[in-house]
Amino acid sequence: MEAEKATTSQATNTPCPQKKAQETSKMKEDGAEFNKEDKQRMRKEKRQQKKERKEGGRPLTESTTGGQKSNAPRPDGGDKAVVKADVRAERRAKQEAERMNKQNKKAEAAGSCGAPRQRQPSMSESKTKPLGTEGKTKAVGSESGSAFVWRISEHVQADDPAAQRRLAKKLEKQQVPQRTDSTRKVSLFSHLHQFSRQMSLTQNLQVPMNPIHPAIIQLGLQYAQGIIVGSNSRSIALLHAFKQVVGDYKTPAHEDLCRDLVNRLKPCISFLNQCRPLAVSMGNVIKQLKSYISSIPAGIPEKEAKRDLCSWMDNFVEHKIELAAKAIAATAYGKIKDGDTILVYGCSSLVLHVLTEASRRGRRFRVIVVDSRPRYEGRVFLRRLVRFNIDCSYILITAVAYILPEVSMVMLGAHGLLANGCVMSRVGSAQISLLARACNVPTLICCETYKFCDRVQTDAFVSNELDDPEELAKVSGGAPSLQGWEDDPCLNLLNLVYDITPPDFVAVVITDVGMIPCTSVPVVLRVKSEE
Amino acid sequence: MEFQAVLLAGGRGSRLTELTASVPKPLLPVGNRPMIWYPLNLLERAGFEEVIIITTKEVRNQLNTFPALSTKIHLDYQIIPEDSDSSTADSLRLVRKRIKGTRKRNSCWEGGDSTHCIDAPVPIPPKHPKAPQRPQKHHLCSFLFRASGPTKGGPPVWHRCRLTEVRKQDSLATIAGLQQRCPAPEPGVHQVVLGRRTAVHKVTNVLVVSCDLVTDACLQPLVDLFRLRNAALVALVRQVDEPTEPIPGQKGKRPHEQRDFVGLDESGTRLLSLASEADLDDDLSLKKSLLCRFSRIHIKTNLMDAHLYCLKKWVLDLLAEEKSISSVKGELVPFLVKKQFSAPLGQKDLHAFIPADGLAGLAQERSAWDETEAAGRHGGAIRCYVHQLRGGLCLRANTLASYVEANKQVARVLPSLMVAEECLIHPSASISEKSQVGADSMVGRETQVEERTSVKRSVVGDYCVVRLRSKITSSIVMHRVTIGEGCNIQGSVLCEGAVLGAGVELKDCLVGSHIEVEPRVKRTNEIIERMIMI
Repeated sequence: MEAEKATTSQATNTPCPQKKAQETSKMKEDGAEFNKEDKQRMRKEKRQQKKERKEGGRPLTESTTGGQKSNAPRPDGGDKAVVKADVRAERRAKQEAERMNKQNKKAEAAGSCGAPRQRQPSMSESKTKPLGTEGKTKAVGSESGSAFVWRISEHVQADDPAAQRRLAKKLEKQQVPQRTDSTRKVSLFSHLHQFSRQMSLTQNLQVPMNPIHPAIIQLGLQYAQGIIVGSNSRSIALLHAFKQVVGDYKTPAHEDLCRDLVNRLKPCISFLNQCRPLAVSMGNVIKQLKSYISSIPAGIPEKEAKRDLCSWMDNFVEHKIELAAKAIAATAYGKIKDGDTILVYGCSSLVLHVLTEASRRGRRFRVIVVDSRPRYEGRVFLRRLVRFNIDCSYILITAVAYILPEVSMVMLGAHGLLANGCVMSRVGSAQISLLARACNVPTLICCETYKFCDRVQTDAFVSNELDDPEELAKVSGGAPSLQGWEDDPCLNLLNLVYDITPPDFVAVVITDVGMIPCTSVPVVLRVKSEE
Repeated sequence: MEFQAVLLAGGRGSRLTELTASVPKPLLPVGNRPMIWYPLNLLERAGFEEVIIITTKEVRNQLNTFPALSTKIHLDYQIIPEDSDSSTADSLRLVRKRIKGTRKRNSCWEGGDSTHCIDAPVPIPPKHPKAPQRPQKHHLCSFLFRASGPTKGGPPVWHRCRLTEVRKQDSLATIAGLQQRCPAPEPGVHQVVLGRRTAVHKVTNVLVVSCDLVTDACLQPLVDLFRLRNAALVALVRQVDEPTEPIPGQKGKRPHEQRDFVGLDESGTRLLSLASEADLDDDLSLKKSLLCRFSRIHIKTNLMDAHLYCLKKWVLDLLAEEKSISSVKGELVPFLVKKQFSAPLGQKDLHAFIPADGLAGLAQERSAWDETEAAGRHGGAIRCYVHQLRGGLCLRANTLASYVEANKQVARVLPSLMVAEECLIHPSASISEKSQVGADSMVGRETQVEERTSVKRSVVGDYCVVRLRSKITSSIVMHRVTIGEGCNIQGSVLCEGAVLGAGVELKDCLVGSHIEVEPRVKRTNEIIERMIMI
């Protein structure tokens, strides 16, 4: 598993053996000495090599296992080559000839090592386009790492006026209203959008008919106002809305359903993205849905195609969410012993299912529900647990350190699992797992595999979601002490939604394919894409 | 089309007493415009392009010839039988057949550039055969269509185009030769409204408005609430301001108006109980099950129901089945509110009308949203809400008092409602320079206001004549009224065609239509319906 992680190229800041970390930093220093021309020349040469190798007919996928052995000396070799390239051209040629003899895997790794260096200057730029994990796509990925200009989503470039203009243009073309950012943001997060709950996206829409399907407008409002929250809930609701869109869809003359419908869904997705940034799980759902639509043969009658599509969506919910939850509950049941004390945080529908299922099957355990401001989702969770006669305690996140010694395990849900093994979850989860690690309490993450994402993220800054800061200022009961905070230029409020838990703090991830370490996300993704 | 607007304009206006004796209620002037203009304007501002008006034949005939109804909305009439005593619920039952699913009248037309379609009055020429047997390449007819302009409310753009191909099965026509803009057509030419192609949705919701609603409110927040909560019903309510002005022709105490007891939850949006004062005996009863779910219920008596309801379409299906329900406000709404928390009972229950929500219920169950817990597991399917207006004007001009009030306040909000650059004083009115017309007053077209006259806080209608040295304060003067020299009119309503002799002094009076009042008559607090002789 560890080896797999290394081959997936992207993991840069993840805690790794010290030696490796030192080497990486050294490489970075060296990298700074080169000028642009040198780098480009090197990349060209690498590409050339790769072409030659491909022509040689050696399949790339087979070679991956061989590449792992020579993995350790790789940075050394790369380093040397890099220094020498800077000094003399002939010397470099020799070095490369030497490298030719080595496995192609190594060259690839070196190529992708170049990518993070290239992306150093801007924080927001370090959010990369996902790279495939399959052997073949990886080759393309590493190639694109050298010549390809990284396309960064406009949604993490809120501070770049050019990107925002581009986004506005796109939305105008799709006839989707654009939400305006609230002006006051914490400067470190100025690249993210921050919407206010008060400002309605639909205020300028016409009532009786809109270019956007009513089901999508309704869903967007429910996302924005927090009536549909939680990644499972959001995905199911998304599919429900799409089913209605598909049901009302009519293929225009001289068009194919498989092409036209995808285009028709695009404005819907843009609208939902304006209401609230899409969840990782929703992104996966959309990706799979689109690929299914485009795989529908052109000649098929519209009615049949629509029926197929709807049943595919129903199946998705049943298999990827419902049955996955059952499988996870069955696996987790084995982990829960009588008399355990389980600490949970937030309101994950999956964890709730796991706990209620274990209770139904006769396990006696106690649950400590940890809650936090401003949403107090823990209360909802608590209420649902109590309904199942489960013994519960309720604390706020500030008291977690005191209660952890009596806890036997921490069980958390996940918003998404990233390719480098990091867990994206409700803000506060990282803190709890860190404390749990310090107290030697294992942290279990429950997550369906459809939430696995080929994105890589090492911190919570780059891509995150900012909620309405007004929520922080609100205090239930009594006068809000932060009233009028907008007028105080010294005060900025940050209502972060997600954080990133590094894989070190996670003991195991319970998924529908069994219990796996969180670093094996790439494997699961690869196996799934092969299917 | 997601929403179908239905305007109820069949009422007789029995509470407006003498005012409706000669003019039907929807056409009574409020701020020199027929009352029905206000709900139409409300709908137009929200982007509606057509509305079904339920009314009598008489009103329709008058509306068709009405000059002042400057609205772009397409009016679609549903005539209620003249003499039968039909209720509001009956009217909705009539409408139900017309809004079954997709409107058939709207056929989908493919535009030449294939990004637009036309949905509107069927423009197929009468000569055209129902189903062409052979594909026709040449054009069948040419006609003009009106593209709704690029901006909302902007001027329409006219195009000339040719109809080339009509398919039988889905009445789909291809329009070719999208030519340059052309001037607006002369009457009689087929007109087609160009809409966006994706906009052809099923009618799923119905917006019911009463014709006596005078408001400058915006519908968007109400509709958003409706969508957000996936509600069965959203009603518009407003806190009632206690009117201070005396009512013309009213002696003694002001009549006790029937209040509603409106039970709301803590957030002030969920409608938990609704009872009219008239229906209650001695006490208001609340179900125990309701109290279990909502520990705090605010019962309010100062909320006025504006008779504007957003309804799910299945409510009309329910209405068709439940023949016993006769009025929307009095029976249908309380019925829905009451049924919110009752468990489904067997086959004949109203839950049978609610379409299955499929995955939506599952999504809601998985969501970490609190409200579903509080509302309990039952009755999740029927949810009633209210949208409370804060500020702005919102009045029902259904009683004499509120009619007077509406006329007074409307001058304040009219400039924001009017699309055109009309002003409160019509340009064709001739007003002497030596007269005083207050900024809060309105003067209609071709009205003469002579010297040394003062008009304050009043509405003076069209084709009126106000002679020398008259004083009009806080009054409503309808169309074609003549006011003689040196009259002093205060807080009164002069109906259409009234003629006042010189030196008449009226205070808080109501003068019926086409009544002549002799000179030098002094009256206070009276209803003048017959000729007055001294």
